[in-house]
Amino acid sequence: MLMKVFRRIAVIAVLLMVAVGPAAGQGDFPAPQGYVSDFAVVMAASDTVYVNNLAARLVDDTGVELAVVTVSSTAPYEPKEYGVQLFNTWGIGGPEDSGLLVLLAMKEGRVEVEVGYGLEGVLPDGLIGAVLDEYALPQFEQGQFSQGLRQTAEALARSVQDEEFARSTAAAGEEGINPWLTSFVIFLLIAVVLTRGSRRFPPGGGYGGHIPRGRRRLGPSGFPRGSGSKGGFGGGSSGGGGAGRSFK
Amino acid sequence: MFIEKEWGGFLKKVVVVLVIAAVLLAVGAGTVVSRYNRLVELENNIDARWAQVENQLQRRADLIPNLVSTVQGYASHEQEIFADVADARSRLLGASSPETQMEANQGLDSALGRLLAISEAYPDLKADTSFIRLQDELAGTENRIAVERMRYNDAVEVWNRSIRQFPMVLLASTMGAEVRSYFQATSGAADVPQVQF
Repeated sequence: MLMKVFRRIAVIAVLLMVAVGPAAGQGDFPAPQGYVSDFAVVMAASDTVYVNNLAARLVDDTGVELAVVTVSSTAPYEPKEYGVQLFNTWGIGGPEDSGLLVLLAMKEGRVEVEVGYGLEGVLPDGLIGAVLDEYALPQFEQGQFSQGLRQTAEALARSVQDEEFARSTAAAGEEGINPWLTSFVIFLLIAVVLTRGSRRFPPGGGYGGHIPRGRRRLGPSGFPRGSGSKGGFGGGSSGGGGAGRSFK
Repeated sequence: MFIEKEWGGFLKKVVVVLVIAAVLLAVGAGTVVSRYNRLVELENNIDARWAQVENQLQRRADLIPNLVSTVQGYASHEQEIFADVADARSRLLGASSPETQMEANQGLDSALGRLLAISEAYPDLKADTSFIRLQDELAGTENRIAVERMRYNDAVEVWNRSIRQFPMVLLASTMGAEVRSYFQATSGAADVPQVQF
């Protein structure tokens, strides 16, 4: 009978834990299409393939994750803010935050380059601005978006080619202390003490299968942080570094 | 025989009551422990976030001497603006509490705005590559401050909400938890020329 009570409680505890599991959403950003996500459809197919291959080689050689994204508009966000949010939502960059995002916003006439924390030393904002002045703006001003993006990607890849960053592995979630787990453990302790005192009801096995695991949490204290390898990105984050230019 | 049966039934009831009491006690204790840990975590988080804001404010202050000397190379007679920028910078570096730092940062915003506006009158300065680089660095730092400020405000928001909610408020008041203030965006942001190209 005691066993039954225990078992029922354990089942209820497990059900509750499932019920209160994380239900956090990450904002309404599209899912990446690869290293190149041409949502605004301004890139030539050959350039898309070329930059995708370039980015794949860059990850192999250096651990730097480069994403090139075009959108027709960043509304309701400013292009810069959109870039930071997209960067952190996708989690561009490996465990050492070695991510790079080139964002082209057509309606706003703006190109933004976001750098992950780990690349800030290698790619200071001034250097990124110079890359944009040299490779992106001259092309963009003539409407050559595909070529401009390709040359910008090449120039950025060259700037980081001698770096070595940790590669992303399968996303490692952080284990937080689960309040229900805490309660359950305390309950077990009390139960063990209680049943020890009573000879008639010796503690038995049989409910081991119900011991719950701590549930996974999305990031430290609910702050938006890349929380997994979505579309091949490794959970990197950016704090707003980089540079941008208007081309209209 | 009969008595023994009666005694057994009574004992069972006692055990059931004890088990229920134990469950309630355990859930209560577990909840208090985890709530307390959560509060400590939230408060530490605010301080950590503020340290990030401070890093970026420091970074901004570090850029200014270079920027000023570059501008001086082209516009040496704008002494008043240079002095204002230097004053605002030292006020920022001298500020210690978040509130005074926020205030000093706003002062620096307007002084820097006027410094950068000078470049409109000096085409050579505007085209100077090191000036362009410094402006990029400055813009990047301002974006970083914006991001860190947002994260700090998020942390403060979560904290302020948590310590007012029941039952957290009971725990928070015994801990002496206080409401924290937000890092407001510069009120005069509209007057500051955007460092954009």
